Amino acid sequence: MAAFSVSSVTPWLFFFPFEKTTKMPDPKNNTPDEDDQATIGFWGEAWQRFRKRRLAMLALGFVVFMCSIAMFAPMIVGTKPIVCKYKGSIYFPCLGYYNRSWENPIFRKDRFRNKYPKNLDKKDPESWAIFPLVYQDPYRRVRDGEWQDRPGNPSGTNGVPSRLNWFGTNQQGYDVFAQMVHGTQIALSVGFVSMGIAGVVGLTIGALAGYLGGWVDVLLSRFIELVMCIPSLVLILALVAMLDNVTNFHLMAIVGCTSWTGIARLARAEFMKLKQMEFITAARALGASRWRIMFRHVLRNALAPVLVPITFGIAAAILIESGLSYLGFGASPPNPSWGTLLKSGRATIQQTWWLIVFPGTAIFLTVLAYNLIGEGLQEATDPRLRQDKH
Amino acid sequence: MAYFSWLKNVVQLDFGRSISQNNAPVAELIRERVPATMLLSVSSLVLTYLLSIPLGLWSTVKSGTHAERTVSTLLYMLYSLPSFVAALFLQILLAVKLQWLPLYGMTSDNYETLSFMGKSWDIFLHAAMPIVCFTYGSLAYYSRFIRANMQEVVRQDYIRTARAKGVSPGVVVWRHAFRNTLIPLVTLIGLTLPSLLSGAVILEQIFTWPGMGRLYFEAIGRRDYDTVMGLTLMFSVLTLLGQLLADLLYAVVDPRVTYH
Repeated sequence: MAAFSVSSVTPWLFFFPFEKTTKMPDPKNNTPDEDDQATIGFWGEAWQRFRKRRLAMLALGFVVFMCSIAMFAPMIVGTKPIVCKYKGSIYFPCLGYYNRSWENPIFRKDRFRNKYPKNLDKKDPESWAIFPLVYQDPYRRVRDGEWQDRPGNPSGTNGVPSRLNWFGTNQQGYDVFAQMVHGTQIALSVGFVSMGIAGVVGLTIGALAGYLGGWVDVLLSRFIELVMCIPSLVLILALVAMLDNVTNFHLMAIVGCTSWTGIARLARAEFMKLKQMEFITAARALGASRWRIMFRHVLRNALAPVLVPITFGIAAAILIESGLSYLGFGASPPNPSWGTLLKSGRATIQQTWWLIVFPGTAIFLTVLAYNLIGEGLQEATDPRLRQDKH
Repeated sequence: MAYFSWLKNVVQLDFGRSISQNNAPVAELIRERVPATMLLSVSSLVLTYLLSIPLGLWSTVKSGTHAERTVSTLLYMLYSLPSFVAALFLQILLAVKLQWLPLYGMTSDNYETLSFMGKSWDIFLHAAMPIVCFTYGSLAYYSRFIRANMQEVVRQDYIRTARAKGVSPGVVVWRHAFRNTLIPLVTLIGLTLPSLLSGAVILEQIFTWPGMGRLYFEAIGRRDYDTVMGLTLMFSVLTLLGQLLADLLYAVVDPRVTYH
C-alpha cells in the first residue's frame, strides 16, 4: 500500500490544474503527420461546437462588450480627465474612479473639488486635458456651467432623458447613464467573484465527498443538504442584515458561500462516476497519490459539466445583487448599482419611467446573455451529443 | 446559549414574541400573513400547470415548425427576465400609463363598503399583476422542461410501436408519452413549493402585498430577530416538506419505486 503518500502533494497543483496540464505535451502531437482532427482535444472540439450556435456566440459577444465597458467605465463617462498635464507633470485622474487613492493628492491639495475643467484653466493656463467621452458623474450632480456653458442636471422628477442626460437623471440629479456604465463593474464583478468562490468551495467539497466516499461522503452530503434546504435569498437577507456597513465584497462572499451546493452535488456525482474508470485504476497502479489522482486526473474531466452551473450561477448572482440593491440591502451608498437605480425609480414610479426601463433592460439582457452562454456550453460539452456525431 | 434557549422554545412550539410589534407572538404574526401569500402562490401554481402542460405538449407535436420556434424563443427570453424587473415594467405599463390595474396593495381604500362580489373583484384586480409575475417564469421553465422530456420519450421504441399499431398521434402523445414525463414533473412540484414562498420577498415588496415575504422584509428592517428566525425556520421546514412530498409522489407516479 505504498501507493499513497500525502507528502508528495505539490500544493500549487490544487490551484492551477490547467497550467500544468496544458504544458504536458500530448504524445500524439510529437508526430507532425498526425491527423488534425485527432489532436484537437476536448476543449477545442467543445469550442467548435459552441461556435456553431449563433445565439450563444451573440451572447458571448455581448458579455465581452459589457466586460470592456466595465473595465473602461471611467474613460467612457466621468468628470475626471483621462490624461491631463498640470504644472509640468502628466496625471491620470480618472484612475480615482477605480480607487480613491489612485488619484494624485495634488488635486485635493489644490482644492479641485472634483471640478476639473474650470480649475485646470484657472490654476495652470498651460495645462491640457483629455476628458471622457461623456462629461457626467455617477457619484454627484453636474452643476451649471461646470463644462463651458452647459446647464446643470435637473433634479427631482424632471430628469427626463435628453441630449445631455441620455438616460435621464435620478431624483438627486445624478446622471443615469453614468451610473449604469459604472454599475456594470458591480454587476459583472459580483457575478464572476461570487461564482469563483462558489466554484472553489463546491468543487472541493464535491470532490472530497465523491472521491473519498464512506463517512466523509455521508457527512458532506448531509452538510450540502443542510445548506440547500434554506432558501438562498432568505439566508442571504439574514446574513446581510447582520452586517453594519455592507460592501460589494461582502455581497460577493455571501452569495458565493450560499450558492455552491448545486456545483458540489454535480462534482460529487462526476467524481463518483470517474473514479470507477480505467484510467484512474491505471493511475493508481502507477503509484500516483490519492490527491494527485483527485485534482490532476479526475478534476480535469469533471470540469466541463461543472462549468455549466457556474455560468447559470453568474446570472443568478447578478440577479441576487440587483435584487438586494433594490430592496436596500445592497452595498452602502454611494453605490451606482443597477438595482439601486430601480429602487429610486420605484419610489417615484408615477413619473420616472426612465429610472426603471433602462437599468431593468440592462439586467434582463445580461442575465439572458449568461443563460444563453450556459445553454451553449451545456450542449457543446455534452458527451452524448459528441458520440452522435462520430 | 441564547440560541439553545430559542431552540428549546421552538420545540415547545413557542416562536417567541416580536418586540417591535407590541410583543405580538411571532406565530400569530405569521399566521395572519399566510392567506395573502397562499392566494398568490397557489393560484400561480395552478395557472402554471394549466398552461405549461398544453404548451409543452403543443411544442412537442409542432416541434421544428416556425410557430414553435418563435414560442420557444419567447419563452426562453421570459425565463431570463427577472421577476422584479418584469413587475416594475408591468406596473409602469398597466398601472401608470394605461391605468387599468391598481399600482399596489391588496385592497382599495373603499374595500369595506363593497359587496361580496365587489370585494372579490377588487382583490382580483390587485392580485392580477403579482400572479402574472409569479407565473410567467415557472411557466417558461416548466414548458421547456416538459418539451425536453417529451422529446426524449418520443424517441423511445414503445412510442414507435404504438404508432405502428395505428394509435392516433394525439393519443400517443397524451397517453403513451406524456405519462412517462410525469415522473420528473412531479419532483418539480416539491422543489418549487419553497421558492414560491421565499421568492415572494421582492415581489411582495414591489406590490406592497401583505404576505409573508413582506413580513420577512419588514422584520429584517426592524431587526426583529424573533420574527426573522421564525420565518427562516418555516421556510427551511417547507423546503424539507417539499422534498419529502416529491419523494412520496415519486412512488405514486412511478410504480417501480417503492419505499419499505
